[in-house]
Amino acid sequence: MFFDVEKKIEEIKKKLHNSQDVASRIFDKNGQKIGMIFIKSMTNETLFSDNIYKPIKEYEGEITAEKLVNRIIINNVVEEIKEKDVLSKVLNGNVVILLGNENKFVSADIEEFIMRMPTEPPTSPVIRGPREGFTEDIKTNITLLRRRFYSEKLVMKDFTVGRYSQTKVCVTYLDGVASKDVVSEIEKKLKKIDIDGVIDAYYIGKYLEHYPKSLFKQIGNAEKPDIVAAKILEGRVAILVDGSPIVLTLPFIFFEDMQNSNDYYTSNHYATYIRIIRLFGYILSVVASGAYLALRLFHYNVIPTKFLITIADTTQAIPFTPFIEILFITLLFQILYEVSLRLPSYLGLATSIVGALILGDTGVNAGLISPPGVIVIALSKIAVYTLPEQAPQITILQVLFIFLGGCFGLYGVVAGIFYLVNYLNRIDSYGAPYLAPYSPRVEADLKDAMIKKSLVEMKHRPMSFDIKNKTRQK
Amino acid sequence: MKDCITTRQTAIIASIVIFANKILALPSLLFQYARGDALLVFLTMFCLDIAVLFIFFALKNRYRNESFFEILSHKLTKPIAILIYIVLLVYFFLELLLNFNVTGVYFKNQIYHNDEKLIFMVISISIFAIVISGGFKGLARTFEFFYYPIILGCLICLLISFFNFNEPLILFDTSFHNYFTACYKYLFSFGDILILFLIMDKIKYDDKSKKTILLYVLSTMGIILFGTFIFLSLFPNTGFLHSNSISDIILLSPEIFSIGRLDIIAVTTVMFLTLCQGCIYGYMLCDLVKKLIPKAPLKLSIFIVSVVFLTLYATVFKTIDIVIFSATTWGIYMALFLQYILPIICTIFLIGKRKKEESS
Repeated sequence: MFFDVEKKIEEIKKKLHNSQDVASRIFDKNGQKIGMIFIKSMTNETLFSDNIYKPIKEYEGEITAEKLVNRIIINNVVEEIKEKDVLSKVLNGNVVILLGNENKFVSADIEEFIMRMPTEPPTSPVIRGPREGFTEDIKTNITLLRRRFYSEKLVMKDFTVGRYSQTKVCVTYLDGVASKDVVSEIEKKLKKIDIDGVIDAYYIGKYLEHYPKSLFKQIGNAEKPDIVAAKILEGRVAILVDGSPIVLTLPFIFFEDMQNSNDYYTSNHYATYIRIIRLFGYILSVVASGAYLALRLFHYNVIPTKFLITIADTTQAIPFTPFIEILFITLLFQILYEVSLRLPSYLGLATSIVGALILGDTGVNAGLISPPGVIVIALSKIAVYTLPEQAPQITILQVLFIFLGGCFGLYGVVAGIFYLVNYLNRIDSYGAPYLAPYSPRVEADLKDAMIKKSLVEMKHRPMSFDIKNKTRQK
Repeated sequence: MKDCITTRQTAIIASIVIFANKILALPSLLFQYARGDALLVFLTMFCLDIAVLFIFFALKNRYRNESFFEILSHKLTKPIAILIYIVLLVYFFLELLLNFNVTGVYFKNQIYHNDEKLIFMVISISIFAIVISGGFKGLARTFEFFYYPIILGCLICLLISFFNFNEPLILFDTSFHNYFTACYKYLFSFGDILILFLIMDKIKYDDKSKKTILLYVLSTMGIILFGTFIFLSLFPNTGFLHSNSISDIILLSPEIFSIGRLDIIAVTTVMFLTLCQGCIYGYMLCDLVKKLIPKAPLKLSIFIVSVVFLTLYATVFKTIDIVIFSATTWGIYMALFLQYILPIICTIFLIGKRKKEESS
């Protein structure tokens, strides 16, 4: 008993709620009914008409599933599928051919989206080195990665996450290098995710974190294939998510953010210097405003006399307490930052002028805020972007340190730093201590921490976390 | 071996507890009795500490996986072990109180000026409670992280002051009696190596451990001796007036960078050191409470220690003079027993065990 092609196509259309972009073709060929169904908005229509529809319609002989699989010429997969997979194939940009005489279904992948090119991501520009970046298309991203590993050891495992979004997720790592425990833990966590939809890689990231309530970033992310390839070579596991140009990497340690792809394409001395500047920038951005407040409120006697006189001169007319003043400038800066992010670029410039010149300058002239306060906050806010990846955490920490410095003085700030370090020492990412290689000290990894040694000297892969093969070069 | 710490972390803990108040109040206190010979007092007491350290090594070698409490219970019966642990509990409370009072006075003199005792207490107790509840491993890693900044801070203070004195330090300018009195009176401020005995079951110990621990301990002692040397050379006649040695030596230095008072480096270093020391003493106290009340969860022992400490701090040991008086009177007997007699008893165990092994 053979199925009725027309009826089947109607059934599929009904399941797709007769959406306007669902298209079908039904025709008779030598007494055999052939049906085709696909979604117009997800497929390449030229490919469909030139390589599938026309050749089948013009073919003289008997059309069988086997012949279709062997003779349809397209770059992607053509395969015989089961009836239960028809819907998902159509939804994934395939054309499904129904052969009434055989009760068979053949799917051909002619998926096409409007995709941007793998251009340099705005968040990770480089002076030297590769400029291509990941796109929103997982296939393109996989290709970009594959091009860097002509090896059978690169494993790519597919998962589908999201009840409605059915998002493709790909776990990739080097077999024999990455730890099996880490891979299996990630796979287990991915399989457990039961969410309606995955819009971006960060959705997946939240499920992979060990400390979901923590303020701190626990998963590495990159937008460039060279960075992800380097991390995979180190024994990390990368997770690609369809629809996101961000690739997640695990395990993650704090000092990863001190490293930048530029460091590997420049001299070691310069890279070391820049890393120290980044660390200094991080400390400055977190502590500067709190420490300034502590000195002004509690320990003014340690400020150099000349500077103290300047501060006294400029702050005597201000109606607020130093604590309120610093908090006010911080909030003002954050508002301006948020506004400049969301406004169209042509208005962004105007906002900067209004913010920096009019509000800042007139605020000082009107005696609402003091120049030293503005300088300290501006410095600490700008310093955040020495480590843009850590910006959200730093912004919260800045406010906390303002409270600590304002309420308890220098001892409060020091205690805050002490607690922060202790907290970071207690968390780990898939077996990697967060503050490694400094605490606990991992001697071998110090070659690529704050001080960067030559690639020739890096004989081993990172020892801070569990990997299978520790030898990188002999 | 859950919650075990590495040899390096052990060495750093030993170094941090050795610092104690030795870079703050102790040089000035010793000066009152021994004047320039305070340096010799330090040297003598450090030699004794090194001897105790070797007893620790021998003990750890013999009893790799046993805790100190288990060794004491096994050798001296459990009631005696409990008794010793009660003495240890009192001893560490006094250590913590001494530490807090000395640094509290220091912060008040140097930077806070007003009576900010409450601020100091609130922050310290909260930090200790949170940090200790995070476990020993996190604590040890935190010390590891701050070790080099602390050492760097100390060295900067010492090096800035190094070329400041005009006259060389004169040794042997006091009588043997004064020298001995200084050694005896401030016995409580030494012997911090004792802490290693109490954490001996939490240490990953191998053949290289001895060398590493010794290296760190000797380096710390070297820094303290260097600091005392500079202090005594800078203040050959007025040492007793300068109770905050590391700050005072830098305060009298020329402002070479013209960036204001450079003692802010000393203040910050001492703040980190105080937090580290407070945490390790606090942890020891909680651990002792847990040994004495085995069913008590960690959080309860932290609560007990915090409440008892705050009560003692607010009532009995209100001022630094009371704490110093306690440490230099009845505290001496406790220190003598715990720091020296107890290790000697341990040596007897070791000899006994060795003889037993030889005969068998």
